[in-house]
Amino acid sequence: MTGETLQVAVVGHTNTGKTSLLRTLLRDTSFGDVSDRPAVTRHVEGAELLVDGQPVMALYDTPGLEDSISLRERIDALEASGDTRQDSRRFADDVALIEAFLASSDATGRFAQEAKSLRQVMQVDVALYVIDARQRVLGKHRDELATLARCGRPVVPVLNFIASDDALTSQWRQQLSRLGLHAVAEFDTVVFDALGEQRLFEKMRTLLDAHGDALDTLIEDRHRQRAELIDASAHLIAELLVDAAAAVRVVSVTDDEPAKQDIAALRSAVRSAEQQCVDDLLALHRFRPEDCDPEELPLDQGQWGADLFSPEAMRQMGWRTGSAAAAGAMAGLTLDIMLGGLSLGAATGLGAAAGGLLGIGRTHGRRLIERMRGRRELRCDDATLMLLMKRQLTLVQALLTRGHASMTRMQIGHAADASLPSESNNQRAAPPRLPAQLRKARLHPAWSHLNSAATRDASDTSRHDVGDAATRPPPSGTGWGLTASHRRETVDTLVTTVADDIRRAHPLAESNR
Amino acid sequence: MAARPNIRPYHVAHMSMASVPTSPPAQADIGFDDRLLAEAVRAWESMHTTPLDDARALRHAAAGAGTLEQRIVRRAALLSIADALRRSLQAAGRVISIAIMIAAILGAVGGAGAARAALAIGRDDTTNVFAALLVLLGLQSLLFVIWLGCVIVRPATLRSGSLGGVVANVTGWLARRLNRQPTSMAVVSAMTDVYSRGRIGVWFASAVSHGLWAAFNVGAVAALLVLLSTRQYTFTWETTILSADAYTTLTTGLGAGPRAIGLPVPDGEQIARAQWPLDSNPPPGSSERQAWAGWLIGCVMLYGFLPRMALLAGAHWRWRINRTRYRLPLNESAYLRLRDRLNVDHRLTGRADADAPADADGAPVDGMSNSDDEVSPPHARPPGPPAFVGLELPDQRVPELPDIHSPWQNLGMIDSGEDCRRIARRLASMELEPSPLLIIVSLSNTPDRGVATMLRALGRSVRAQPRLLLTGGHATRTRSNSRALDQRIADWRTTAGEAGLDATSVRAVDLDHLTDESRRLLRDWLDSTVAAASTTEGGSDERTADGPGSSRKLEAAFDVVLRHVRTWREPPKTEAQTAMMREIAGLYAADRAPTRLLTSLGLTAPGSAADVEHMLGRAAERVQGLLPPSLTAHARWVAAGATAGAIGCLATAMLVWPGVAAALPAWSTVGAAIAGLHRMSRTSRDTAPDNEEADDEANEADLAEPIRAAALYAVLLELQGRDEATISSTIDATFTPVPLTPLDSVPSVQRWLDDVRHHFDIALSETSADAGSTSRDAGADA
Repeated sequence: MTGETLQVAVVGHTNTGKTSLLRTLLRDTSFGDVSDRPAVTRHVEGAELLVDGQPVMALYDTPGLEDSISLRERIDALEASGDTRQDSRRFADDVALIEAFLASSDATGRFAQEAKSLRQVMQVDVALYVIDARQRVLGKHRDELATLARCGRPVVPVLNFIASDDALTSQWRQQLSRLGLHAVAEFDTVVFDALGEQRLFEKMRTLLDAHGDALDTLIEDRHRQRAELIDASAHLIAELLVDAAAAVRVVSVTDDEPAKQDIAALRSAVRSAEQQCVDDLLALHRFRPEDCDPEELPLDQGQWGADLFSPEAMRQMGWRTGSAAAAGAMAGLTLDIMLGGLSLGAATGLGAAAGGLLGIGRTHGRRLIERMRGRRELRCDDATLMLLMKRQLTLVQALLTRGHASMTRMQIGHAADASLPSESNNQRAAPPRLPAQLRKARLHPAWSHLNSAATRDASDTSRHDVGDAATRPPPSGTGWGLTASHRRETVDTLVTTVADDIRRAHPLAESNR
Repeated sequence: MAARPNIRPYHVAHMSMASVPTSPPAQADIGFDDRLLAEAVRAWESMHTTPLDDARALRHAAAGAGTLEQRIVRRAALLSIADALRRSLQAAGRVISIAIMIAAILGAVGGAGAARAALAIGRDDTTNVFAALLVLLGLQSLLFVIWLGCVIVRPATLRSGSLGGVVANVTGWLARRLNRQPTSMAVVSAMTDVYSRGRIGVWFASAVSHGLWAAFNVGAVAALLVLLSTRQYTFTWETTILSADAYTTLTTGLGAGPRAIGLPVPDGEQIARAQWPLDSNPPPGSSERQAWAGWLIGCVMLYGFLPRMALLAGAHWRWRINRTRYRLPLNESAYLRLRDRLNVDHRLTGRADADAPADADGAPVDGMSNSDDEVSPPHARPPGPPAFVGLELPDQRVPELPDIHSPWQNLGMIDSGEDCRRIARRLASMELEPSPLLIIVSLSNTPDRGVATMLRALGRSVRAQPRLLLTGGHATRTRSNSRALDQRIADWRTTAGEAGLDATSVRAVDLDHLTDESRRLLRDWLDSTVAAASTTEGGSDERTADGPGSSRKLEAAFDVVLRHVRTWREPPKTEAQTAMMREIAGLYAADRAPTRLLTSLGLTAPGSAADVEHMLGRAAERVQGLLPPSLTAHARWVAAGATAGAIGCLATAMLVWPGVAAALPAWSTVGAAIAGLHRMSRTSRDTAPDNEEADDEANEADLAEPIRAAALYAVLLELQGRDEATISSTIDATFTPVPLTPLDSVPSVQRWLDDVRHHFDIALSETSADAGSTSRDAGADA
């Protein structure tokens, strides 16, 4: 069984991103050590790609070829010495020559590091030769390719860092085709591109007929995984949005100004829900929180830099901040002072199916009573909800295009910001309209995990509630089954909307689906 | 090529064998109950914030083969809570069965009651046979039509299986009542979830409802049989608007079924005679009664019981199919979190080169294979014009070098081993020794042993040590960051050391960004003879060799600023600013820079609140005095200088003299004092050319001034130990080129600080030689 697993060695000059390539292919930031220094990897490290639990491809990370010029000279010298002997000890072919070299004392001494790589190449089906495309084609590269060619294994050059401005992609392609290497893959370990990965596998397939099925399985599995990843991300975002949209604090209002602790409680509940979502998204995309300082993502220490309820956060997304009235203590929140919130969902409510009427009657009836008793509902305003959505979408889009070895700063916040500071607020767009599902969620306080059981239970709203998101109250009372399934239905349709949004931003990556 | 190499060492095969765990024998398909258990575990976990101690289960689940779902199910089954959940699931199942059975009995009783009531409908001791049939079949037929509509049309309210949810909810409520285990809540929640997802719940509810109606029909038929056996009924029918013919046709039509299974049914004449009021002669005979009784029982059996039984079987079948089709909702966040831990799509197989000799770990043995060295050691020769060679430079254009004693000779670019040998031979065969030989490399390249080999080869071709110039620093910094650049410089120094170059022969100067100053420094370095350089500098002064040295704290200080800025929602209060500056001063505490700063500002420990105010004023004035004219022209910089002086000195004083805290007046007083300083500096500068900027400043209600002050303060601390003129000129070179952009967002602050740092680096490298000597002098003085 193991014999059928496609064996792949990843080789290349030192510090060209071999370990980074493996990290990205494995989606595992913990594999090996990555640093912008020479000879970080000292040993051959192996890993297997599994499909449905079965190994499909075994990958080996190797130490860099450092002194490749001398290495080639050494092997040339060995060949020359064999030629002069004129007896049976002449090397039958290049592979025999390399084997002889690996058996020599040089292979454990001066060229120990290079020998590890070569030894691994001799054991695999194909070698991926990783190239830092920002470098010119130099003698050392030609020497390395010549040495690899002698190993008698197919070699697929992989151009890394092609997304860099300094990348010399076409020059490299020319040079490589002169050397007879036409199946060149382009793959940026920093800016991940699903299509690039697929093409890499396809390039390998052209050279490895015997393993075509395994590679096809892998390509298909990667497609599926990516679709699942997008759906799963959308699911997390949809859950967050429904929770936030339905989050409500019933406040007692005497002078049109809700108590500070109510405002703080609602904000902190929504903030921590967002943080939980961010944590989950990072975990889902397999970025460890400690990996993502601002160098990595639009996040800072795994958190959004700007507070959700600050005008700065709005500006970052290029949106106009709310009206002056809302910019003060109540920024990002709204106090529902229309009769029982009918204004909010009147359209949804009236258009709803007959089955929904009962629920709306109940909800609005209760609100009406609350209003008469001098209580109102404090909730996030539409702009804040859209901001919440936009921020997570931005994060997901950034995550989808990040390799698992990236070490440089992502400019997303800057790009959005750079042109803006001098502009006046008027030139910013207003936040887009709330999706229908969220307008619906507004009407259902019971849908939000951020509301404590007291708010969810329609029979008792007299208490202030400052429940926190950490302790999710268990579903209680009859009717939970109905509530849960209605909520889930809304979440599911929202997931479709959000997933479409994500896919729209990545047409290239999804083009083959 | 297809042949497998015969040198695959045994351990690889051995290791793969050992590391692939034998897949569990129960690789068979997972069933609905297993999935239900997994859902119950998920519900349990969502209700308890503390995660389950599941290391063992995870390990086992992650080890074997299988899809993500199989692994999740396997983990769930291995958890310690699984047994309790399984018991609760079974208990809930029992409760549901019992409830259904009770409902079925009640249904049968209801059917019997309905049959009794149906037979009692009619006038004068007769039974209205069509009314009776309507009572027995009417309601259930109506409900059947509605059910059919639900199943075929699938209205939106039923799409998510609310019906099933209701049923599950009701039974769940029962289960909770009957079984008060802590796990039953999770089980009920899981069952609700599973049954309301997909169509399992719909078909379950259908099966239950058909079953109950079947029981109803059984009860009705049984009661009919008993009653019709033991009592004598006279069956009639009547109508007002329908014709008698219609009834005859209807009865015959309905009777076709019962007749087919051998039951007696009334014929046309008997039907006609049963119309109310009955003719007294001839009275209905027993055969007539039996015919009507057979017709009624047959109708209930054929049109009530049998269809319900068929539907029950069908719904049950659909329910089972939906159960087997049920898959875990893998996009639920609880499963998403498990996904990574369950190791689904890759596994690490560890080190694979264990056959390499143990000593191969360490630094590679330097062979220095002199045998193949074609370059003979050069004999002594008179010094000649300087020469330079580029080593694997990213672009091939000729670098621009400052003129020294004679014009430069360009020896070309080394791109390969062949180039290196050729140039080394040429160097060795030259009549005059190049003085010096300059090797230019790019910091964007990673130094490696190959480079070291070439440096050695070039070094052997001249008698004096070659110089190694590291260029391209700026490009490398923009590609990553200044910390990476420092690391890269250090790596190059290490490699150069391995190639036999001592530290003074290596210098990082960016040839693409030469200033007059750096050009002069470069010229001095290149012009000095190697011998002189190695004796005077001795390679000990890392700090001055290329600007950023090991003791540098500016990055950390700017990080502190950024961190504080992130927490600011409005312009910070004096106290917050002081805390920030104090933190910055803390970074420099080890260098004694804070103490030096206080000394250089001529301050002494204040004893009273008045002293503190006096100290603030003096410090503000002194720091403003340090600002170069290009900055004092800007009101904003004047204010920043005052703040940096006043608050910075306050923070420093608090750090250096712990007694200050006692003398400190209230923060509001300090704030007022500093505001007073600002006003003073502003009025005194009213004559400054940019009055309009002062107005501007009022609008700039942003965080700029505290940030600029903090940056200025950090630079001041960084520069301690240098003389005042150097400090002033460095501040000039650092801040003057940086534009006064609005600092209203974290990214803009970050950019601005990056800019400042960049110019500070340049300023430092320009003044490095002077600063190096002054730094040593000042250090000796202090």
